[in-house]
Amino acid sequence: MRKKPPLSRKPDTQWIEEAIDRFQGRLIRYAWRLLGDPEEARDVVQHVFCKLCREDPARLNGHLAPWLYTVCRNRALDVLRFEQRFHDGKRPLDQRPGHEPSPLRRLEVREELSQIENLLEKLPRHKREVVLLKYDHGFSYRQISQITGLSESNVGFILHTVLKEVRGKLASPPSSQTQQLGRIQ
Amino acid sequence: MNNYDDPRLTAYLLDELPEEERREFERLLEEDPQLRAELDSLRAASESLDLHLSRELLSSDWEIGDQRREEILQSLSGDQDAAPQSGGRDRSLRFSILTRSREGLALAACLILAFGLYLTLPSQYGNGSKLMDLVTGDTSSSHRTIVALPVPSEPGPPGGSRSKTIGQTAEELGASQTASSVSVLTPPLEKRVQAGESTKSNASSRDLKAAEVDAVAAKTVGGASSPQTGTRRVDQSGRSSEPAVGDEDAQRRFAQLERSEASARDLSRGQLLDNNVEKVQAEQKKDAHDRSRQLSENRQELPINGRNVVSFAYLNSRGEVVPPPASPTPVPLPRPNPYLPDSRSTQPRPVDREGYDHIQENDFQRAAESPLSTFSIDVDTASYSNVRRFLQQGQRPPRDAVRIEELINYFRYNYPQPLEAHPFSVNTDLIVCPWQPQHYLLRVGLQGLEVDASQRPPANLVFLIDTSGSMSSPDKLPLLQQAFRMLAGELRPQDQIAIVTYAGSAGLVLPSTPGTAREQIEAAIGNLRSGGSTNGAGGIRLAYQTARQHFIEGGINRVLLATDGDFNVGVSSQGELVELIEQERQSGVFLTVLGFGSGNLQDSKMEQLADHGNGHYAYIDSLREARKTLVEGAGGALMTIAKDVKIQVEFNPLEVGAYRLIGYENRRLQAEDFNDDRKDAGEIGAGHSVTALYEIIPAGLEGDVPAVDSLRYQQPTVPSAVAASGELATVKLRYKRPQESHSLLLEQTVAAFPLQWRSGDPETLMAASAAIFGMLLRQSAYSGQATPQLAEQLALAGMAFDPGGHRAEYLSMLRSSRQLLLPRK
Repeated sequence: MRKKPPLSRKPDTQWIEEAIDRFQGRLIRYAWRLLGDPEEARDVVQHVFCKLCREDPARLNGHLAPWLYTVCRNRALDVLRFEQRFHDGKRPLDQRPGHEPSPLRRLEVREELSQIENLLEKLPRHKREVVLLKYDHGFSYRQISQITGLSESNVGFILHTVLKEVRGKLASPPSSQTQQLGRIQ
Repeated sequence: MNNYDDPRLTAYLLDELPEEERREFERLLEEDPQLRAELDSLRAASESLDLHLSRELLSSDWEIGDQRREEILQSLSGDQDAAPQSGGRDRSLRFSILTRSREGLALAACLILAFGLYLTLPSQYGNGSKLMDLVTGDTSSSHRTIVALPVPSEPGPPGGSRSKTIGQTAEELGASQTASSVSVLTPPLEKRVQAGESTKSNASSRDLKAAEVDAVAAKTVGGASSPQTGTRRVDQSGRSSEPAVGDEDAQRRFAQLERSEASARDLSRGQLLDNNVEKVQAEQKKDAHDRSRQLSENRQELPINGRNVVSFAYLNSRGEVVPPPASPTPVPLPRPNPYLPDSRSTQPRPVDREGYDHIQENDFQRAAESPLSTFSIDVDTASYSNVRRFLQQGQRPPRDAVRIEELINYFRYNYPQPLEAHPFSVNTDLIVCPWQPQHYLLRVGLQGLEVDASQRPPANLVFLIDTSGSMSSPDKLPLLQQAFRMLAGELRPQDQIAIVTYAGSAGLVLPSTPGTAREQIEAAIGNLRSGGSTNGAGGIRLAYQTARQHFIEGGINRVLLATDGDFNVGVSSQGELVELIEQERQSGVFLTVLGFGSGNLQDSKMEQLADHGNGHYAYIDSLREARKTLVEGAGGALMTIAKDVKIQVEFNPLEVGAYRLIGYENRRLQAEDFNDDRKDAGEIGAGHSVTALYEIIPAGLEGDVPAVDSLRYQQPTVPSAVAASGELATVKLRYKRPQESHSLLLEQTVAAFPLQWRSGDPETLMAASAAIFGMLLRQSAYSGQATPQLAEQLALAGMAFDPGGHRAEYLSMLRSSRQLLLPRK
């Protein structure tokens, strides 16, 4: 006798679990960037999903992504505000996720990346956030404006300024470096 | 003189300029070399930033962990105020206490200290258990190992360093030694390729990437030779909170393997063979599922074990980096060429007497002019198995045999079960359109309530079997007999079954018999012989009459018509048959049409019969297909849970420039039909899922869609206040319960917030893959940058959910028919 394929989870937890599966990585990344600390980022994301549990899935259906990003952002900012009251507000950004890139890649990108890293660290929070939402999450000006509450033209202006700063930091265009390495290869 | 510090440069670079401005700006660029130089230097900056930030994606630890997950789910069940059992590691609780009691700062400080005691626990627990998995390969070990791990003796400060825990050491071990490094390096490659367009660095960076790919692959092979690797991967994606159920777990593993193989193959350049790994993989595969057998021919060329990646580098099968689909300059909107002759004259009909209705693909509609899109749902799946038959014979199916909605709906989708009073759930998702990055793709997915086989109401089934001369070939009557034996095997004592045959004249071969009379049923099916002409109408009448006589109130009453559709005696014109069916459906008896055979398959006739007879049309080309249709759905094919299901989508013209419904061409309804309960529409069965996709052109980009002139006697309509709310559309649904005649309404809105397709719901990606498959087969003018490879990538992303192994089969079919899917020259 053939068995009917079982439902993987109880229906009432399924939507939460699916939301976690789909969004945890992105939200942690976002919160991590804002807070500079992975554990705190996970705390924030846990809070976001706890809050999601209290929402009506039918009402959020079709609005889940913007809701999650907005709640995540608000929560992260609360945490930041809280910490700035008790600590000096400075935290090292070097706790970001790391791994070992291939030697070749390290060689290629080390110099310019450390410069960019420096630059990003020095950016005010709201600028860093806009950069992240654009480059890491691929959102449009419009979506960034929805999440952050900045106007679209403001978003565009911020990105433009940051690009100019990045350009200033790059001693030589990355293409020439890449080319050289390509030739060695 | 131009302004060289113009934010439009960045906006242009990031593809954010509205259409008019973009054209204007491109004109400026053309004229001014200095502006171009400025743009190029900003582009280089943008690429560096992109490279840097994509490097940030590389962590293997982007999960909140099982324990946090548990706590979240506990809060779902309502006891979020209960103290966490693990010893108060819920720091969200801590923060909420603090923010609430501002005066209680002393208390806060105490709490911070107290909670600080536990801060090091989570990472240790989470990673420690992974370590155990890695060592033991035991998929269910995580809970037990938590208990076994030592509790740290020193409390850490709240924000302090906790980098040197046992867990992280384990994580380092895991990350550097396992195949996860493949995925770890994949995103930057892809992103980079995407970002780099016509700059000088392009060619050289390709070389570089190819070299990296080799490096990665080599590393992977080294790591993957540990036999536990595969198990661990599988386990990570599976949920440890739930015991693995044999069949599904095996399927999941198989899906994972399949996915990892594919990504590995894309990355490997086919050079790196490691016997060790291959052996491990072969074992895992064998262990994973029998269904992998049809894919085993690929095994030889799948050398390494990769990770279950949903991001892909744009590498072709030889491992070369190919240009990404994203294009920096918007492609003008394709429109079907009215002067092109249709498929009937351009394509040789592969089989002479098969009959297909012509399908005129849906065009883009401007949201401002026709904001409503209305159609009836369709759970037919026949087109998929029919198309598969052609492809398996190495032939391209006739264009009109490809009904895209049936390709999409062939698969089951992992939508949540309905929570409320309604018999199905409605699930929407919006992503950037994979084959047209300027556009969005809106998915509307319906999931019918699963009904357990034991809960199924009693059934009154009438098999109506075509035994005419045309049915004698082995893929018709003999297959049909096997299929019905299979279905008869599922019957219970309370079920009734009758068999009516029709050849020259119609006859009752088996009067309505209880499902327990196995021998009697078996004999009747075994004795079916073919011969003579086909009097379809006579058979249909007799079958419905038999069904009415044994009608079960509140039960399943259904006629299952099995035929090649070639009616040639009595009432045989399509119009009259449809009329006959429409009369008969008044009795509350539903219809399933099962198409068999090739050569004179009358596809259009059978689809129409099903549509008009409150029915559902499937094409049976194999025993496997028969099982899927008649047995697998646990009665979905038999038990209707809602009828006359109509969907109406209202688009918001402030967000949507134009939209196009993909498929459902012969299911479109007038806007006013939506609220008209007399209008017939599609049925949905237990456990069925139905998916519709809209390709959407965002407002401001619809310039190429034909518009009507402005009206002389009317004012243009003005958007309502709600239009500015950021909503993309409202999806409305009407349906009737099976025995009722009044419809119920469901409504929900969709935010105009598209995610990148790689971040999209895997189910949307699977549906998009099937849509691309259909568009390529139809040589659709709207297929944009769709390629067979893109369809494969999207299908891979959807492999995590694959009951019955149908997606795996689809993927292998995609791979083996790449050539047939390429556009014809």
